[in-house]
Amino acid sequence: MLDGDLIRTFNRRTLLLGGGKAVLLSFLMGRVFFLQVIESKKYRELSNKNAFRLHILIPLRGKITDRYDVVMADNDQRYSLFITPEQVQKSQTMEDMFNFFSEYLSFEEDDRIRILKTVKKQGDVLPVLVKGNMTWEEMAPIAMRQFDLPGLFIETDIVREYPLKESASHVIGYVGLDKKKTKYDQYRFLYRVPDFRTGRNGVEKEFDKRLTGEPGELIQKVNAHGRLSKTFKAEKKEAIAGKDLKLTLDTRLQKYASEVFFEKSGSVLVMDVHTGELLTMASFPEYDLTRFEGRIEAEYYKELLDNPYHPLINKPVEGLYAPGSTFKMLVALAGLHYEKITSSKEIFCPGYFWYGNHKFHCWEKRGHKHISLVDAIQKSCDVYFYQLGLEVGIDRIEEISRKFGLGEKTGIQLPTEKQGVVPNRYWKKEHMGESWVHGDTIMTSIGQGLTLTTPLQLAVMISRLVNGGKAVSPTLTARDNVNFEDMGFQAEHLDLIKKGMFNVVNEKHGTARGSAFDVAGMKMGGKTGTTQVRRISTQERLTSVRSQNSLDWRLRNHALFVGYAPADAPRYACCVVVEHGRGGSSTAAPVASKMLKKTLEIYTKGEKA
Amino acid sequence: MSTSYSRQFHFPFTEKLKKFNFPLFFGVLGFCAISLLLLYSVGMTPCETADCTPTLGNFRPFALKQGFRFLIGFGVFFSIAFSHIGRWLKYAYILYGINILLLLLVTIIGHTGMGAQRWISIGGFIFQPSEPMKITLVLALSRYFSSANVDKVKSIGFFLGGLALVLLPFLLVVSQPDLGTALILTFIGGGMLFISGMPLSRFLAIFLAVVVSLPVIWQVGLKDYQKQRVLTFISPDKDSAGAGYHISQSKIALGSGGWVGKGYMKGSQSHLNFLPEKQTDFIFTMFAEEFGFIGSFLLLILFGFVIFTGFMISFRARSRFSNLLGVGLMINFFLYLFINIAMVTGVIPVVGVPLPLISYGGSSALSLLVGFGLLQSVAVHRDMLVSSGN
Repeated sequence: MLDGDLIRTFNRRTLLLGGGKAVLLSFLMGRVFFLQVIESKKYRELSNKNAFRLHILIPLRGKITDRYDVVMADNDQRYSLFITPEQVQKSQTMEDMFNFFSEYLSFEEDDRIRILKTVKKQGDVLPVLVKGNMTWEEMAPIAMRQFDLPGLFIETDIVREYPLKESASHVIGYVGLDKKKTKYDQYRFLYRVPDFRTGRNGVEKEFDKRLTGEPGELIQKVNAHGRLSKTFKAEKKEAIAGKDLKLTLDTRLQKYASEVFFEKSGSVLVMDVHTGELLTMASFPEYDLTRFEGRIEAEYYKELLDNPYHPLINKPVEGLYAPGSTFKMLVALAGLHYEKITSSKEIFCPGYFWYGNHKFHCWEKRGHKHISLVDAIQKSCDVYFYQLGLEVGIDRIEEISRKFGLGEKTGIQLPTEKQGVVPNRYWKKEHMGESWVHGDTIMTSIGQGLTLTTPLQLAVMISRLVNGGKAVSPTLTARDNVNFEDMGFQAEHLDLIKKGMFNVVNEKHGTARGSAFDVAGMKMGGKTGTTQVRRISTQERLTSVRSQNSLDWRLRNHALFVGYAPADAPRYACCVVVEHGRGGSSTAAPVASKMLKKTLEIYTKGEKA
Repeated sequence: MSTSYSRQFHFPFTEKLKKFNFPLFFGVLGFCAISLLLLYSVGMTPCETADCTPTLGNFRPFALKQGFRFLIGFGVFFSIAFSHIGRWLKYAYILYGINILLLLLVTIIGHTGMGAQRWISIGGFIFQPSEPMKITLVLALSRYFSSANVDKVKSIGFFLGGLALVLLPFLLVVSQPDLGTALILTFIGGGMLFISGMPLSRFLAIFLAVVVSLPVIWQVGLKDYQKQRVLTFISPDKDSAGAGYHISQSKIALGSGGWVGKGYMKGSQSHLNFLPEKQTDFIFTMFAEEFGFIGSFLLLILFGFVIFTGFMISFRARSRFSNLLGVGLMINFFLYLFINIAMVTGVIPVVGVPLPLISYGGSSALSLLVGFGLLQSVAVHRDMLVSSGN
């Protein structure tokens, strides 16, 4: 009935067909193998990206306190209002909500347009910010009605709070957005949070990592519509809060400095000469840190930038000044140390000093006549130090300057410290292209040459002079080890210097006589300095120096004072620099005197109690 | 043309059971079990209280319903398996004719779903006549070619008659439009023509005719969404949120499964709804995501095994009708699975073909079980000679 041919054809072709199917099936297996095994990694990443939503949990920033745990930087809550359009539309329209907002908030047309744009872009499901950075007072009227208005929710933000307002503003610094993401590695995850703030200045910046802590994570699964998956539990790793930072500052003294500093611009430092702990570090003018909480107010910031007194500069570490007469102690010590002079040797000061064709003036036009070392410090005789400086030589002056911490950074925990200048032959050649001449040595000897120091370096210098010649360095946080290297100066030499400085304040012809005090027998020693901002012209010198009061503020001399107390057992050093403050004795010494007096009052009382 | 299949001799049930092909049966049962396992995982237990977590895995809404369909399907399967193969030879054209009428009915009164008219409801059941069409076409072609001798097979008139049997349902299905089914019908027709001994030059002629008419089909025959699908297939990643979304997400699901998969009910692509149509056309993707390459490999092996068994059954049958019917059914089954898996792995465009016996859906499951019932009948009646006579 059937043809053999047809059967054979059927068999052959069916086999062929079956073979074809086997090939195609193998091809499918290959394809599946390719996707599931060879390219698996790529697809696994894509799958995770699909399904997981990572929330970064910002750790609570550590507090900053003074040495007695008075809070200097804290965290405060601010509130942001969000709206989820999808949930709103069930009961009201978005327009109803906008009307509601404008009734209770400062809600502008711009906000309305922004919200509608965002909704158009990201869809109905995701929440949109209505208004952020609100205090509880602003938020309360909304919060009370929240439950009648589905679709609204309030999120709490943490912002930095600075309860001291202006005091210690430069030391504390502030936090802000790091748009350049400079610390990318450290905060890799935190940078994904749009509002994450890092320390931008002061100890907020210097101790940023410690204050920031470790970010946490919340991993949620979301479905294809962006809604949270109900069947998967979120994984959460809590953030580890930043550690608190305890500074050595004493807010009482810090605030007191703001009260007693009556000039416009300058620095006040109080330092423990044995431990290097800074009790006060103030830069004037200060700025109001409360204006930096949350978002930094652009207008205020611009105002600070334009201020002629440069409030944004941290003058104790950034301000560079010629040390003036405060430098004379180092020249005196060098003279004694290298045996170029003895305490009894007298030098004659006629009021001027001829070297070659140049006439170098003493500030005392009538001259100091015969004068020895202690008196020369007390009366700040320029001619004495011109001659002594030439005897000692610039190389040794440089050496001793460096030993006392000038010309290099002190290592204080602040981001913007400057190192200043201790000049020598090479430095002058390199920077000015001229050879060193004796005239340079002469000017350097009275602190008026090329030397530039920060107020903090001067505080270190005076501390090392009065603590027995120990190489103390300054700090803003308590340290365990307070044994500093002895620099190897003889006690009697140091005592002579101290005697000179004691006389500056406490003897009849001392340059800071008016600033003396006596707190239960404790007195102050110190040295004034007045440094020229511009050279005095010969004309002015002939017609008697013009009164500093009649000069433009910018051209007036800087006023310096370095002091210490108690005089017989030095414990605290103080450095005051008043920019364009005319004279060290008139504007700087009184401030230092008040600071040291207050310090003694607080701490001797504290120690007794 | 008279049909003779009268009881030639006594054929008791126990004899039939001996010839029943159990490997094939268990293979088919295996698919159904896998199907129910997957459909159970798609179901979700809703929450009673506000703060509870809904859990995956529920017989509702898919597994229970599909299980019920399988139950009916196996009833049909058994009754066909033990029914006389000659009866199917006898009613082949009638069934084909009824199916054609149903297709016509769809075009007139059918339900519209996803841009195409495919369904009609009969007594409350929604029914897709293009699914059984694949079976009835195989039946009709088997009968058509079983009656022919060598000379007749090679005659042009006979060839055109066979072509007409294929073209009629093809055109009706294309007009719905249902590209996937049309494709399957074409390949079934081609396959049957091939094994029945049609001269190869005819295939060349058909092939050339199709190539020439392709641009015309593109312009006139295809709806916009179909054109879109083809274009999407060519570059799916360009617009992964739009039309290429299905393929992209499907590949992500597959690829992220890796060697061993994410585990049962743990596929994030499928259970978080990134995967579209996960219980129907894209069910293979969910399976592959959760059971990995090892799972997909074993599943493909199972498919291969069933097809191989089907071919063996067809070979061993003594009547030409049974030979053709068995191979035709296996061509159909293979086309389902090949088109579906090629589609979800991004080898061919998305054309809407379910994974046979595993995808959720009544019409395809039922017609496939009818197909396997017929194959069993071929196995059971392998020694029986039936013919429509000449």
